[in-house]
Amino acid sequence: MAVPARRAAAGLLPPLLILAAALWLRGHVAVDPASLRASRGLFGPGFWPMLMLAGVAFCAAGWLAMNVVALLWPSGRATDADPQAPRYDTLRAIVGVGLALAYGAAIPVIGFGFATLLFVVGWMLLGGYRRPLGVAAVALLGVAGVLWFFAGIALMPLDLGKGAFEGATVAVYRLLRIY
Amino acid sequence: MAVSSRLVSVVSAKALVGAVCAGLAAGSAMAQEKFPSRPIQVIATFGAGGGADLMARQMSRLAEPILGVALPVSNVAGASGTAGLTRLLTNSPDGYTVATLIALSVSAWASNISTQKPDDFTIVAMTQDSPSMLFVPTNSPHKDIKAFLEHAKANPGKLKVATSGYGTQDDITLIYLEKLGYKTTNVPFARPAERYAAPIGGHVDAIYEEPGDVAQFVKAGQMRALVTFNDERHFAFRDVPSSKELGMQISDLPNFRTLAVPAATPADRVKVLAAAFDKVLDSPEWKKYCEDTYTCTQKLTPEQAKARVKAFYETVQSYQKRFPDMKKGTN
Amino acid sequence: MDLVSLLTQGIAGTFAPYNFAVMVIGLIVGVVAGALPGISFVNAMAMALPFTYLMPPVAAMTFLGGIYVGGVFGGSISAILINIPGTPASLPSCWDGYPMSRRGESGRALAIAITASAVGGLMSALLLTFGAPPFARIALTFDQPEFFAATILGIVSVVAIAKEDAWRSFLSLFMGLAVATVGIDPLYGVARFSFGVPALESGVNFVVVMIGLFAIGEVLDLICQRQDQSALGRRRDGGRRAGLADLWSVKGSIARGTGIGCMIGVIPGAGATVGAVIAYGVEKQASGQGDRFGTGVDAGLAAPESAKNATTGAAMIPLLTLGIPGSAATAIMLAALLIHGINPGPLLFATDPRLVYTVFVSMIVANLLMIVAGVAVARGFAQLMRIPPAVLGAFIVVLSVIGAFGVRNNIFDIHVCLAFGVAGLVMKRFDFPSAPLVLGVILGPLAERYFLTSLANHDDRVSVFVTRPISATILAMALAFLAWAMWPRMTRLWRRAPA
Repeated sequence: MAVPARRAAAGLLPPLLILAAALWLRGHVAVDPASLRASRGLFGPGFWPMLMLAGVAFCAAGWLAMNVVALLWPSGRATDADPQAPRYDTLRAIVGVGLALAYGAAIPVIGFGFATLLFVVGWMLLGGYRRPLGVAAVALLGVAGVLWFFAGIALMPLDLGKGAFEGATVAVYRLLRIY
Repeated sequence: MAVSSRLVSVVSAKALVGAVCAGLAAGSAMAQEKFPSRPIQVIATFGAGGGADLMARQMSRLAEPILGVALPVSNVAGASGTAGLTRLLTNSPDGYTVATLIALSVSAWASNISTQKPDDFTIVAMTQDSPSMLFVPTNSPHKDIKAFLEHAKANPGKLKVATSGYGTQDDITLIYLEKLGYKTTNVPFARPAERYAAPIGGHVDAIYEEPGDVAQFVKAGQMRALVTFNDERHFAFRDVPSSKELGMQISDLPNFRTLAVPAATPADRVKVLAAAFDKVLDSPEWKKYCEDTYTCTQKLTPEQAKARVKAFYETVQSYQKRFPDMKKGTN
Repeated sequence: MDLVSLLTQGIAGTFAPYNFAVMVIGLIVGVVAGALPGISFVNAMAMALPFTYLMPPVAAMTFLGGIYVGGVFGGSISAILINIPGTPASLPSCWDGYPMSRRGESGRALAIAITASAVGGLMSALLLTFGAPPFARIALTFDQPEFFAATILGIVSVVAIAKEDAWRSFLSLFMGLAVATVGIDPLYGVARFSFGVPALESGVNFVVVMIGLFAIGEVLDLICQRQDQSALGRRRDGGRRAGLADLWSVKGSIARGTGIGCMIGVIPGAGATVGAVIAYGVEKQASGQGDRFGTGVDAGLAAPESAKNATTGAAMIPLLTLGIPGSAATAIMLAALLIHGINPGPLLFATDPRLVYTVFVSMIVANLLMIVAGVAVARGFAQLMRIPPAVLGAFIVVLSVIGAFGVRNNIFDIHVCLAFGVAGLVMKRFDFPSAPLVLGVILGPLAERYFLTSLANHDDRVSVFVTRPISATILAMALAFLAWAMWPRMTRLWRRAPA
């Protein structure tokens, strides 16, 4: 019988990858494996992580076996396409993920305030909210409000940024009467 | 509504651009500005409610009027306090970030946790210091340290002592006792709260701790002290013998707490901070606080304090060489 | 002093204008912070701590108590309305609360949630007031093996969350348990899975994981859906209100949830999230309508709601009677007291009974006032839903980042949180269960610590867990629970198997 390659890949690849990752990680619990050897019997610092990895491997193997069984003896119930599933826009997903990760990476460099401003603008544009003045007003007032509350009132040590950005953030904070 | 929001957005956009320009200019001119002219962040390297956290909060509260700026405390817990110290080192070394640096983190460096070393820091204040002590629950059958040690000798490994972990000062002390023939079992409790509950609930025979952390239980009559691991007796526990009186050489593992800045911080700013914290240490409020927590210590200059930290680092390293099997939790 | 005069002092202290005012402010702050995705009540309490320096100790405690009570409830508002738990403890409230909202019954869901939370919290506050010393004595007899057994019970409750595919749920759980081992181990000080990266030595915090998976993951998922008909909270509340009959019909669930919450609350480290998840699991089995759980069942919402708020009073028992904080929230309260030079513990009952009884009474009152604060904030929150999803989503991500950072003020936690946000998107896309993973990250560190310390204290005998009566009983319960929950699946498998 012909098992569609795509379905086979979708069913087998995730558990296989997780299984492989678990097995690989068993050798990388500690940078220096010697530090894991406890002479207090079995129960050293590596005992619990190893046990959990074994659990991961066991469950991944079980899932794999289930999927193999399902592929070889389809019960007929399984249908591929769910007509009610929301349609995903893969491009948007990639841009969204990229934007979020870039936001995280930018915070320590350009400071929380500027990173947040750029992120909020980017996200609104991506999400389809594109009236220029609306975007500007929401972003500036929103970020000022967030900064005023969390850096000013709640005194959180949000990153100021490095180099010139640090001075700029401090200046903005002074403007907002946070400092 | 639309008009006003438009107006606001234009105004704030202009203001922001102006502020950024001013800030970029200010960045280069920072060297000349008066210090401190904005809040100084104080990093407590352990969680809220612990000794380091409370020290940071008391110091910052009392230093605020002296320095004239706010000193907000933030907890950056993790990795034996080294996570918070990493944060200190990655922030600009401009004196606007100060962190707690305590003995536990220094002994973690000696155990190869993180790559930090004493020379990465300048100590702006040695704030607290306390020897450790051995406490038993009040209803313990062991009247004094002699009875406790004799029981340990007769029943090796039968007495359970709650500690903060393997490879710590606690562990070093217990291994030292073991080498003298008093073998006990180290039972590590990672969470202080659980560690204190263990002897009170009768689940372990004793606890190794600094007196300030268990003061409330001693005052409430739930624990009593057996021995102070120091040369002299503890000023608050006059009838409790010191380890030196018992002929032991284990007085070099005190629990000190300091405030530190990165080593690259300009000397004039270190001076400002050190002077302010010195004033705090002289204040009656601080004196009361350190007496309540049994942690009063002599004031030290930054150089003396650095020497203390370095000496402690080397002591822990030498103990680790002496007891090579320590990390493996053999005792 | 007899109880009546102590309580009178407590009532007087609670209703003293200043104490009362800060408690109400605390409640509102707590509910709002709880309801904001990303900002949890622990964040809010940590931010509020410096303000308590300026207050007298009694007011500091009523203020923090208000935030605690309000915040533990507040998370459910966003859980029910937009399927994002505002605090980790509200995670189970998404499972049956959000489906109700989808049906247009958000008002009814909120009414059930508020009632159940208030009842749970109130019972717990009464337990605190009238049963603290004996309850604390019982709690002290529990040692690490008992805590370990209770943690296993919590882990086993995953089978209740598992829908059809137990393999994937348990895989997710074990992945969470493995993630939790990253960082310096609790006993030996050895860094694990750090790959030489210092930031990884601090480990992965469960709040950060939770915010990533459920808040950031949800927003990411939303932005890549083409049609916006399922956008955040865009449905009108079509109408069925909760009548008294509805509330009365879940009394059994509330009672079970409250009982579980009170027990879990005194276990150090466990707290509201674990209580809520266990209560959901138990309720799924006990209510007799387990197969409908996850579709918007009243009992499935009421039980975890009552359980999480029932942990609040119970968690304060070890704090006030023993001076031992069991959770992050109570540790902040301890800090507030210690800053003022007050050591909680048995002595406090003798030296400052007014403070102790004011805290007791104000916890009772706070739980009653929470109903008002909860309704008011929920109304306001519903208005927020009118904001365009793109704008709302952007600020949910910003708040999540702030919340993740605020857990330990660690910049690396932001990166971990965003990474788990991407993971949450992927898991949702591939229909891989993510709730067991969070549970694993929460319970993993507890299980490991309790397990290893138990062994260290009992000569490495693994049998200690079954020879101690209490831990053996709890483990037997966990086993029975597992069998009970797996039984229908086993039989189904049996019937389906080719002969």
